[in-house]
Amino acid sequence: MLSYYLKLSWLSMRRTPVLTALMVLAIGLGVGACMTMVTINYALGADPIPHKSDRLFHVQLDTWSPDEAYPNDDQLPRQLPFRDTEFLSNAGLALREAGMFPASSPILVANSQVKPFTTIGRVTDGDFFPMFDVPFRYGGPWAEEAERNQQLVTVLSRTLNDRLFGDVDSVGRSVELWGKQFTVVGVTDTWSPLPLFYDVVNKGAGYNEEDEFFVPLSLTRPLEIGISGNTSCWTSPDGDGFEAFADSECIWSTTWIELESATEEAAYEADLVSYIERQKELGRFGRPARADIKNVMDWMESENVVGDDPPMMMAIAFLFLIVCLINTVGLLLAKFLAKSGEIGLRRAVGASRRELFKQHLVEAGLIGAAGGLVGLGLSLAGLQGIRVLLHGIDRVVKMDPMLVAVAIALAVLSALAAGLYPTMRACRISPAMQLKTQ
Amino acid sequence: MEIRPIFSALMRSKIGPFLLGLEMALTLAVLVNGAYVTQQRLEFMDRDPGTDITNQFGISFIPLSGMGSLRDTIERDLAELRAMEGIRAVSATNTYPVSGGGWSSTMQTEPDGDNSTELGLYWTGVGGIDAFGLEIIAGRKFNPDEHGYLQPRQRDNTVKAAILSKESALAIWPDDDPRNAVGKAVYMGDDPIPIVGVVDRLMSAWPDWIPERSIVLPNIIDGGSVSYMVRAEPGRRDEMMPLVEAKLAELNGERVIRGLRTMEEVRDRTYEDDRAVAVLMVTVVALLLAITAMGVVGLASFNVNQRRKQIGTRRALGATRFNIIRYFLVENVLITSGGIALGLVLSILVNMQLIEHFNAPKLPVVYPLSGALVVLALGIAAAYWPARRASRVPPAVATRTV
Repeated sequence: MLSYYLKLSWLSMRRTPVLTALMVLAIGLGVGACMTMVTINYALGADPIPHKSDRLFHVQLDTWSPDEAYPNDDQLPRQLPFRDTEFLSNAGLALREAGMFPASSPILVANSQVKPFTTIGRVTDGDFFPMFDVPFRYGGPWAEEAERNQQLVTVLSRTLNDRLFGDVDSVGRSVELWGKQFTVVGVTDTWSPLPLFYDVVNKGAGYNEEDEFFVPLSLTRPLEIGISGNTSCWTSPDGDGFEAFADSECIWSTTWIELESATEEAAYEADLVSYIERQKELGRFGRPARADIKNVMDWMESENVVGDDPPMMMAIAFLFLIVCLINTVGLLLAKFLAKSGEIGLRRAVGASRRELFKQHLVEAGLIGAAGGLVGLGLSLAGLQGIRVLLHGIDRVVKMDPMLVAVAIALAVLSALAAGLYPTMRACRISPAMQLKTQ
Repeated sequence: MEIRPIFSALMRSKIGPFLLGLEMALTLAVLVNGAYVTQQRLEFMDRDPGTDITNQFGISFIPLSGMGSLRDTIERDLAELRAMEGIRAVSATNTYPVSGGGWSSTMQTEPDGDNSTELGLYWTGVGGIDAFGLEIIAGRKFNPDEHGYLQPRQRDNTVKAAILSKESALAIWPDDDPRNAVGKAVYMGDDPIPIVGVVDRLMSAWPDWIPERSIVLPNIIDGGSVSYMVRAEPGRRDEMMPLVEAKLAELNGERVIRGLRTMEEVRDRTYEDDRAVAVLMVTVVALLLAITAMGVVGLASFNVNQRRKQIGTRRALGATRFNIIRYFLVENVLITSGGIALGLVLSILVNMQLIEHFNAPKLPVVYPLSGALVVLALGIAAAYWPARRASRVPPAVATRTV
């Protein structure tokens, strides 16, 4: 029966090609607009590290001026003074602890054809790699010993390794950063968490460049590695030079920790408060002792990583889809009622209302499926357009099979919903009336 | 006019006209709010940075270990670039206007006083005012003896002069003519910086935060990455860009040269999100109007087809073709008016949601009103074609049985 109804629908659609095209186009445009915006919102708001995002925490301490809250009374500063990061990343209070900040340097390889260029990387702890499940293509993280002994070691990203050496195992080779020769101990495999959750302060909405190299945090002071990112101070450093800056209350670094389980959150926060109390004796922390840790998704939300624009555009796109659907309801109604004669005849020769209902629902569903395909094509075009509008978003925006399925489902469901009322109306047509007017 | 019969005919077929009215109402709501959001973004992006933006470009470098003295390199670069034919002015700077990133600091009117104002800093050298293309409205540009270098992370830096934007002066001394800032001083920490000039306008690096508050200082930062603001002779920017890049590479090869971009590119990159919203809004609204127009055409055509016999009868009874066109247009206006009434309410509701969730501003009254006119015109235009077709139904149709 279904194949017969499909055939009838096809015939009916061919009889009114313009009207059919109009309906398919309307559904396609509505679904296309919605799917474009849903894809972007989904990508920006996705959990970048789903299996452990509830156990990874971003640390905040109220280190600001005794005279004022920053950024306001409800929120704590977004970054930490470097001395607190240094302490917390080696405090042994959590399963894993990684202090970090972004830094940039020209990079050179001796006797290489590759001209020197500038790279942006991350100064961090060895814990960074297991904590964020960084995959390695060659070698691995540096040993804790290397970090303790302030050895000049580095982990390169796959992209940087490809550019410097081609895709070969470069472990043991040397690269020059900040004028010093660093030994490569590892090369990460393709790894670009989206959004770049561990540094939204500096990387913004998350579709910025990935880190190209990693070096140990313990090298910060000996090499005087400057931060290449956000720095905020409420008071000037207490002296001249890099040491004074590193010891100052200026906030420019971040600490992430991994706990055994999310339930240890309160205990860790209590540890932080007692750390603050101890620091108060040294004359620091002039404000009430306040500390907070936020897991990945809470931190993303408090930083408003998705931003206001994508959800706003998604809401507008859904309104657009509703208009397209109302439009389709109107057109389907017109179409089905124009077939009154045919419906009356079929009823008279024995088709039940139920069968007629099925038949017209099949027709609506077919239009929906066609609209879904058109919508899918349009959303690909829409995403392409957005790639032109926003640099670097292609790293974020990918159409995955699930989204394709959602698009088709959305289109068919929309068309069925739109087809329901016209179908009901069509089934109510009384055969006698129609046959009489013929 | 025959509004009453048209209205009662409408009432008989309820659902079709109701759907069309609802569609028009939603269209109006999206149109009005979309147009307003777009207008807001366009205004936001259209603000004058205060610089000679169409003739300017920037270029940066990072020293390699073999570069030698950074100061010597900078002084030589600047002298050589200034001497190039086609270059109007050039200076070092830490950042560019509306670039999205830079250095801000609070400034006080007394040493460590309470009255502090956050300003965006431009560390430039002599010639900074010319390279930025700023208009001095009081005081003067920097003198050569005020020029110096700023040692990062050192406290004994001396800054001998500053030039404020008019908005900065107004922010610091709200009750005074901004021109009177000349001769006063601001404190960044303990040391006073004398203000020697005020410029009419200079946007900071951040278009969404202290956008108009900036201060220009005559010191060049000695360390890290160095950027130059280059102002070409009018119309010669694109021609000069590769020449300047080549010149810098020739003067000293021990550096990584990068970031050769026009100031328009810098600005456009910063406004990327806003432009994307504007473009998407315009696209959605245009598609929406098209879909709604097609809906009107579709439904009116259906009505015409359904009523061919009645139309023929009216024509046979003496109605002119004009009467028929008028009937369908009046019918459409009735539907559209209902839709617009509902649409105005929806517009306000959508706007309230935008205010609540996305910090949008309140909709000015002119938007819903002009939006209503647009939707009305759209409805009439879309209904005209089916109406004209209706008017061509020959009176003879009335006499046929099928």
